[in-house]
Amino acid sequence: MNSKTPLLEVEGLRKSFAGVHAVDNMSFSVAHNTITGIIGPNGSGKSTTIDCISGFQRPNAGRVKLDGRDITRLTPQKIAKSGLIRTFQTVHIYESMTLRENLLQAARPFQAAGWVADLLRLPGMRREVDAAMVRADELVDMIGLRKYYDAPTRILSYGQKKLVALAAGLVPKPRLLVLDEPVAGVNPTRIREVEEVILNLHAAGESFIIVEHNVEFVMRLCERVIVFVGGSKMTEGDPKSVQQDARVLEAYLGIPA
Amino acid sequence: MIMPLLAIIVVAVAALLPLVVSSSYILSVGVTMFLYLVAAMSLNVIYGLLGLLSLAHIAFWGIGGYFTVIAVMDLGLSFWLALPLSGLFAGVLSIAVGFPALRLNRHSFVVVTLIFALLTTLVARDWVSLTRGPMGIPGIPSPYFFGHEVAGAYSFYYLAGVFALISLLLLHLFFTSRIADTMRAINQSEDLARSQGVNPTAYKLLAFFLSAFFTAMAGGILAFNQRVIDPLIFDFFFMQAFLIMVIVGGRGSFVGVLVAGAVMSILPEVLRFSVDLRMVLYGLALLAFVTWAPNGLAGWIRERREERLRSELQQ
Repeated sequence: MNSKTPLLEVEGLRKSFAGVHAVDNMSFSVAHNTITGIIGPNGSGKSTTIDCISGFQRPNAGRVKLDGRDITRLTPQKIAKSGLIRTFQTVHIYESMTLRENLLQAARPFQAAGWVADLLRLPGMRREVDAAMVRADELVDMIGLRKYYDAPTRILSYGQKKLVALAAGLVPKPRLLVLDEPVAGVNPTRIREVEEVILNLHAAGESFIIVEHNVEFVMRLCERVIVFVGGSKMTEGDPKSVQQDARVLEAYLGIPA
Repeated sequence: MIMPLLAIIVVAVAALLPLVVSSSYILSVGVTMFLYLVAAMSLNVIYGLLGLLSLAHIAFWGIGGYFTVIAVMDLGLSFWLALPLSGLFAGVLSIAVGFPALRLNRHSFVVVTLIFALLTTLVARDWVSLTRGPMGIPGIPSPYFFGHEVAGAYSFYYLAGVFALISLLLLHLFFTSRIADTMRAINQSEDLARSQGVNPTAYKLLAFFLSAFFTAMAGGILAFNQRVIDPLIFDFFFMQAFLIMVIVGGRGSFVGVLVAGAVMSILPEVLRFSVDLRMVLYGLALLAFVTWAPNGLAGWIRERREERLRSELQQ
């Protein structure tokens, strides 16, 4: 698409629960091939915004555009198929499936073979499985869990499960991957590995939005950081200027500017 | 390699059984087992794969019976045409019930399917001009297969057996397909499945359709085997029998439910040696499962395997 159209455009988004505005007049945009961080204190509307963007909640007002296409009121599955994939703050993986099955399952909705082809194991379905297998092979090496490839993911540690969720999100090569707290609860050495994975993918053209409480992680990875406070965007900029912004410090630490 | 061989042996033994066993009592236990197996495996599609407890199963079982009988006796259709039609009819009904019921959550799905089951019983009892009410429809004629009358335990053993074989082969193809995998995925985390682009409603309706389709045909054969159909075909006894087979076998497991279905069909008959204690022993066997293997036969085996894997990988 036209590279001047932003990859994601959020305009005047509002979501309220029983009269309380969780998100109000939220506007921001994300350019192609970037890593954008979203930070903000608890209750600043990060999760609600992600839910609205990915279709899991219906905004009361506002618009969301992916690559110029309005996706505001689509279902989560349609939004996923149009190229915006999100992960969840709490680990969401298929625990009784193996790691391999988790990755193959993530590829399934993006493949053309229908139910008949699946049922009768037609050649088209076999080709698709082979292609998905190649992709899964790449990703399992990237997250360094090949040892557990054919183990049910239930036996993995919390941090490893987060990595599986990340890999599953990457399977269909989405235009934009929204990561909701990808490293919360992951041990520090692992966090470094995750950073490397994300940077490599970014170099290969992938775009990310990362919502995180771990400010250092965000500052190291992102070229742009958006700060949410009280349900709307307070400021945005490169990591350094955001870090020095007195208002950000106040929002986080309560130190008056 | 072991499994296909085992399957062939089981089928061969079942096929040759009537040649050595002449007791029509044993053969009729076989007929019941074949029909229960198909019904339990269909329940395993919606309840096992998707975790949606459908109490409408008993309704489809009865509807299949009534539809086939009425189509043959009042409309003059051939049994062989009426039977698949009854499956389609129940399937269409399942979509009509499932579409609104699935818009709500899992719990209300159970309630809606229960109400549907109760309503169909009422219809069977009170729409006298169609179903002849509580008296039922006696004198159901025997089907003819290329001029041969299908009557008696021996013939019905083969009719039900071939029907079960075809149905279970198709269902096995289904249980091992990617469609079933996606259903398992939806069952484990519907949000994750949706975030990956899956439309859960389409899969739920498909599961409900398949489970109604096969169950109704099994009910149709049951009616012709009994030669009479009345509202007792909607008895909750059948529903609990299918449910127990799925739970004891392990929800979502094809082989588990197959084994449990066979055992649970035969066990009450074997336990007849003590008529008084029959149901008590049956109940004890159930209780043992719920206590020590709450995820059923297949779940128990899977858990052992996972434990082993975990200790291997953590070295």
